[in-house]
Amino acid sequence: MITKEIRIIPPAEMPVFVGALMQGRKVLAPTRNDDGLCVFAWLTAPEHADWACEIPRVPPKQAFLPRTEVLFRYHREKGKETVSPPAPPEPQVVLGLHPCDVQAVKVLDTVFSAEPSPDQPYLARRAVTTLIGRGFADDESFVFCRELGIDPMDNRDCDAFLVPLAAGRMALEILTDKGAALKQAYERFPPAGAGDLAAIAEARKLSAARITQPLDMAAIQRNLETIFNSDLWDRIHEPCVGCGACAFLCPTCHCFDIQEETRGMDGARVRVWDTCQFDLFTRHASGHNPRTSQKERSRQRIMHKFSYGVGRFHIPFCVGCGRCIAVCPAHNDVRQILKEIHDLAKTAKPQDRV
Amino acid sequence: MTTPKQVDLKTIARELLTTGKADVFIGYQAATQPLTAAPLIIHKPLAPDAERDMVRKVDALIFDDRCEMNLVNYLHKFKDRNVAIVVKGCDSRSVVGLLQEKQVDRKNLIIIGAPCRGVVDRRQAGSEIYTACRECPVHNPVIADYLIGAPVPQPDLPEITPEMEAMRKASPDRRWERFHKEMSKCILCYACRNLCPACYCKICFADASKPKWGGRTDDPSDAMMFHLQRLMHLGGRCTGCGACVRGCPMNVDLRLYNDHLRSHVKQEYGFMAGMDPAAQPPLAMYGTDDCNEFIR
Repeated sequence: MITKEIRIIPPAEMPVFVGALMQGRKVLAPTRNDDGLCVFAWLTAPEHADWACEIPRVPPKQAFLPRTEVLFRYHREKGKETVSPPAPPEPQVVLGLHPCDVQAVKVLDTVFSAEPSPDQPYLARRAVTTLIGRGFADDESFVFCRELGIDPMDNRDCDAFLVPLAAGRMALEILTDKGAALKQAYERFPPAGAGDLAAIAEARKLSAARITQPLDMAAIQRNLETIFNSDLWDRIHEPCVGCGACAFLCPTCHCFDIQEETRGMDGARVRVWDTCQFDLFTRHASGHNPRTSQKERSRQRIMHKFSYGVGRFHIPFCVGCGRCIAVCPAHNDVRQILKEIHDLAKTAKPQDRV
Repeated sequence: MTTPKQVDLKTIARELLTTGKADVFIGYQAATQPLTAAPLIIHKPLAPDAERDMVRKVDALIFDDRCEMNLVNYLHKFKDRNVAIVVKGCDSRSVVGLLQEKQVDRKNLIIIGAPCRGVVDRRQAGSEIYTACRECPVHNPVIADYLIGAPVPQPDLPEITPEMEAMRKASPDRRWERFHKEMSKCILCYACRNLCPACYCKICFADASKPKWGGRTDDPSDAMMFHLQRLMHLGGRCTGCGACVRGCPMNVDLRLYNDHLRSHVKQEYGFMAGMDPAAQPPLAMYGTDDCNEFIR
């Protein structure tokens, strides 16, 4: 990616930068909630952006796929029904995304722009969004994006990117026209000097060197195709309690339910987050459920992330952020599941193929 | 009840699984994250290579102050099997609750009691134990066939904690503010419900869709409806194990609400959930001396 320009923001000036971004735009950024838990949330004040947050518990997908999205509103009167579309989305900036969260946005883009039915509400929000990524030198204990070949210093697919330098300074790389459109927010900061450029290059070099041997995702996908009927799934699902914590806080999980919210003669058709881990997700109107137990549901989650996504869109639906590992109340670790799949597939029988 | 025999965790697990007395052994193993333990479910070996797998898993069994999960929840998954299960004091009360409600059969259960001083709060730096553990009235299992440690002393506890007293005295506005704040954090992932041994309805009201009972939007009123209904269902049944609080990915603190209900049941009916398998839970029976002040 060609870098248009690089500006240096001193730590004390970060709120000035964020404040300028907030002029006429909504800004979603890592922040701490009342409990001190790090989450992506819409900023109400520039100083609420928290640069000590690494992988916020709540992912940034809410910027494009809100927990509740009104598709349209309606009003009924005698013999008359009126339907009104929701207000168009306002310009927004998603700030401080870890490169694995940027990759997750790419996954969502791929799915929601797929023909024959690109998703209009998603694409409308995406079109008014500027993505500002942020590099990270260290990983939290649950992050495994390097094993998926995602470099936490990589600025690809971002409109702008922040590289942390010594003493809390940040280098802001402007990468696209959308990024350059933020000029009013960054033009007050000085351009990077030769020393800064060397520091950025060094940070990138160190980070890239730490990606030693990424997992072979294509091989994992091939292996998964052979173990649909394996008794491996009997074991994997057993500790799972079937809640939706992993899926709701996954930056790439995007399944939704469509519901009616009515009050008197007014109503709205909304879509809300849903997950394949719930029994209700696949329950038919007849009462029949093709995924009868947690075994099928746990398998679906792994298959969708590592097989179906790769097979259909050539992109894994997992980015290695490790949120599911951090939040699983049964402390399941997807890295161990992946390893098991990798090892078991070698002994899988041909009749297990689907 | 005869005094439970003192045993070694791995020895008893190996013995129960090899003799076939237990089809399934449910215990803990170290998890990949700091200060956490994950459930370990071991099956009776049916083939020689399964035997090696079983031995390897038995060796991974642990019990210490990381073992926060209430494993009793898994009994619902193995209803028709002979199950051996490791329970702390609080968890043992969940077993009693399920026995009272006839959800499990005592003769299918082998209860491995683990006296416990409290589990470490992995959300705090340092070695603080969870609030539910600090306020736990049952550090030693109330029901067990075996014990894997010496009974621990039971600290004296106030009838009502200062925190609850403060909440009861607080103005309705203040209480509403706290409730609204907690409910606003909820993302309706249902981890609390799915972790709760007492939540075992085949179809939960929250999953009812014909007709739909509650919404799933981000309006806090949807979370309020879910949690209030769940709380009512747990009145006189919640044992205070704290699984719902520890497992919540968004740190929603349901503890005070459950504690409040529990202390009411104790006050009005003299009943503590999950203490005596032969006792009748107050909301499952009728007594002429029942509290009836609310009937006007």
